[in-house]
Amino acid sequence: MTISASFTVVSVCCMCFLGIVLYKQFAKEEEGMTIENTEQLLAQTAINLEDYLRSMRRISDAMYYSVIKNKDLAVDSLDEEMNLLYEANKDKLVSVACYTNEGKLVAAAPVATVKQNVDVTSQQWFGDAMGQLENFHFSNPHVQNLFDDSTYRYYWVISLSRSVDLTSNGSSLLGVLLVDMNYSSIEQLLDKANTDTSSEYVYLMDQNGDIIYHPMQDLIQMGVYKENNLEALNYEDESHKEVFEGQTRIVTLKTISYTGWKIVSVVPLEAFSMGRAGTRYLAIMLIALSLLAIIFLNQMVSARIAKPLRKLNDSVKEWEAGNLEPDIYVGGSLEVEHLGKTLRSTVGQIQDLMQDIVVKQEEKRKSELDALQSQINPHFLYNTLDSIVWMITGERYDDAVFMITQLASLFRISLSRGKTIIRIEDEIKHAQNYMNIQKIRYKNAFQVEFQIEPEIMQCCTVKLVVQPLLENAIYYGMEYMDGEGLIIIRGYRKDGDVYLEVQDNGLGMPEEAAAQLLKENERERKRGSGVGLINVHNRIKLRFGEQYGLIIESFPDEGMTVKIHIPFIPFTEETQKLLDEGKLPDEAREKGGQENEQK
Amino acid sequence: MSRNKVYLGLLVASILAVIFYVSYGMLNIGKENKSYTVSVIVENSSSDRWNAFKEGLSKGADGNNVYLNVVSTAKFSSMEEESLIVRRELENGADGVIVEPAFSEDLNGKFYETVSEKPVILVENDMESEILYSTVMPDHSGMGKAIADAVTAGEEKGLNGVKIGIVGGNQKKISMQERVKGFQDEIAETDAFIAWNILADTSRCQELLSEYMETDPVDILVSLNNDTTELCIDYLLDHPDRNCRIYGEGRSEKTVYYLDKGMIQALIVPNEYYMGYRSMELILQKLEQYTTEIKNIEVDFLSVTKETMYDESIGKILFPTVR
Repeated sequence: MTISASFTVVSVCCMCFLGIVLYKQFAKEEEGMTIENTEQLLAQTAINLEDYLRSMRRISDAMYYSVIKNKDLAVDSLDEEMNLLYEANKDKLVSVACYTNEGKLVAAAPVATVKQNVDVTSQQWFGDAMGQLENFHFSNPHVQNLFDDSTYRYYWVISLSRSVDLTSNGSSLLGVLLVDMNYSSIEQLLDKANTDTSSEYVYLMDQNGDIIYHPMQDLIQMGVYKENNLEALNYEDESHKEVFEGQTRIVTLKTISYTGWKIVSVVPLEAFSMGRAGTRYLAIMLIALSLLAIIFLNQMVSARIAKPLRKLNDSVKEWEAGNLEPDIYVGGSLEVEHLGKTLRSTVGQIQDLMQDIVVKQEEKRKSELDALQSQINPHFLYNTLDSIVWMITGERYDDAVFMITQLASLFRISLSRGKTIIRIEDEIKHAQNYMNIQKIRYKNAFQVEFQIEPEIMQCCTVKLVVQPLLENAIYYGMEYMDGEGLIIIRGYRKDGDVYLEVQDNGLGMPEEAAAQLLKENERERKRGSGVGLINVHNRIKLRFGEQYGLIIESFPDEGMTVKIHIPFIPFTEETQKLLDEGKLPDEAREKGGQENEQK
Repeated sequence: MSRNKVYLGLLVASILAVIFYVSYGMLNIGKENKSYTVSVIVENSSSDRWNAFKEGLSKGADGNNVYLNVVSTAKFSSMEEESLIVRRELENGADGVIVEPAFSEDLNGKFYETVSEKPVILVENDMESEILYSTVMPDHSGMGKAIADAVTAGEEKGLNGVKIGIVGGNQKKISMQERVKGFQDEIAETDAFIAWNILADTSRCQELLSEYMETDPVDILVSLNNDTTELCIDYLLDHPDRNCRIYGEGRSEKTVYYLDKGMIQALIVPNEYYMGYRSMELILQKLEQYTTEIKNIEVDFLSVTKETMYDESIGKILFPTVR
């Protein structure tokens, strides 16, 4: 996995985890806040409701303690005070009435016609008041069935009833004081808590779980809507989570003092979910945008880090592939740049070391070759000098002079003032000197022909390359030959290069044996001048390049041809100097390069 | 392209898709609660007999972003007049209409032309038309039978020799035809004698009622809708000497009052709050789901007497509007 992919995966995971945690935390806090708000709303609604009910009790108390207790019904009427009290509170009240314990109306406000055939003693409020004398009694909402209203109106009321002591003719009798509260007042009060358009709502139930107010009261009555009021009756005054009709909801209760009524708030969790839609979208949007930004950032950061590393890696691969001079990348961050610089320095050092090794090897070989080149076969010198002695002894002074002259020329060219590169003309001269001496020694046992094109005479060659070939031709080709031997030395130019060729008609050798002559491990000291073919071959390659050297063609009984292949380099002081230093002149180098490419 | 780049591309594409989806969701948060205008066209809409129905409509519309428009109407003289009002409401932007057809026979397909595209719910009364409409109404035949049963139960001395006059009202309504038939079928099983039928428009009923009661007075007046019940009440108030009892259908405050007073022996009260609520629920369902499914909802009714009218279960249906 790449750095950028790793970064991206880690970032995505982190952002998702962070988003979920934040959302959960937000949802939890929002739920807590909603519950807190609901409890506050519920507390406020309960306070309002308690205030309302307290004011109703005060009306009842005022009527009882300030009016009824001070009146003798036989002589006094309650109507005036009752009407005053009613008028002062008529926005909350439907009626105020006082009945005897037999259900006979004592007084009522507002003044109205009593319905015929209505038995108030059978009504619940009356029974409650007479049942528990010392208490206030709040009834459930019901349609008032006491007075005749010619405008066809019927009132939903909550009856506050209490037993009262009435005085008539000085004697006391029991009665019931009824304050019918307008139900719509309580409805309006609770409607205010239900103005929110969300699915949360508040309802009111009595101590038995009967619903007094519910925003869906009519639908509950018709069975269209259901409420979990009977279960909620058992809850304490706090928030509870319940599942009702497949819906999870938070139910908060508050008990209204004195009445035992319970005001209940219901908040479906669905309401949270719907309310959170915007937040959820916002959270997802922020996470998605953050992810996108992080991915791009990761790409940029990883590119900044990974790209230089990749380039550095490519450089190392190039080096591994064999390019000894790779372009090591240096760049990127400080660490990568330092790494690149160190690697580049290391590669440079390795190159230098390798170059040193090559130079040392070359120097070693050169010194070895120089040593070989400087060797003079003592046997050759001894035989030559012995021949000269015999010539002088035999008074063949001219021949002796010729021999000595040839030997002197031979040594002069061999020395060549220490130069390795000489003209082909000198090399041929050297070969002629050598052959002249050998011919005398071998008593003209073979013929020698020189066929050298004048064009190449002024070209450069490594010195003493022809003589070893002639030596080999004599010792291998001529020495054991019965007939007249012939050695032909040719020099010519072909394909832009120079060829010096030594051909003999001697015994020759098999092709395989001839091929082994140029191999390093076959190298062995032979008779003759002491400089072997392999040395000539190596020297030429060392000076002129791998594409040059010796070419041997030999067949048994047909003789042997050994060709020296060297570049065509006109001899000047400059080219001689360059070649002596182991460098090739530009022309030769270009040509050598082209040939290498062709190969 | 390397595998990592493909995965990265897919991830970026996924994130972009999420961003587009969330943007769409955010833009449509406010649009989720689409609002609708629903017009309600009933005959004589200001009559208090529709109070419960209107409350039911309001409850159904609550919290559903519905602008409820109860069109002010008087008595319809013809199908064309009612069709014109329906058309006008639809042209003025109503998304759907709840209609009480004052005439059941769709002459010349005019009503059909009017309501060919937008949802229409019929309440209280059905139509004879080329197409079917969703209806929300009581079982009218059952109501007729319930009145007959109330007569049977209310006459303690039995129905032998008891003369009944039927004030059947507007017979251009299928609902009224079914009520009359339901009553007649049920009462035929008893010994009661049906002296006469007044099957005419309300305006003609008053005149005919007086005429028939003069020429052939009856013991029981059976009234099959709210208006004719109120006519019967008015007649008896004008003729207190008549020893006549009323059984009928009604739900106005006046009819309830005279039930309480004892002039009406039994009152059959359809649950019009429920009718209003369910009709609104149904039309919203059609608006939100774009469904043309025909659905008929039956509305229940109560048989109420003076003795039972203050019962808790009945009171909450009989007096919903007077809180």
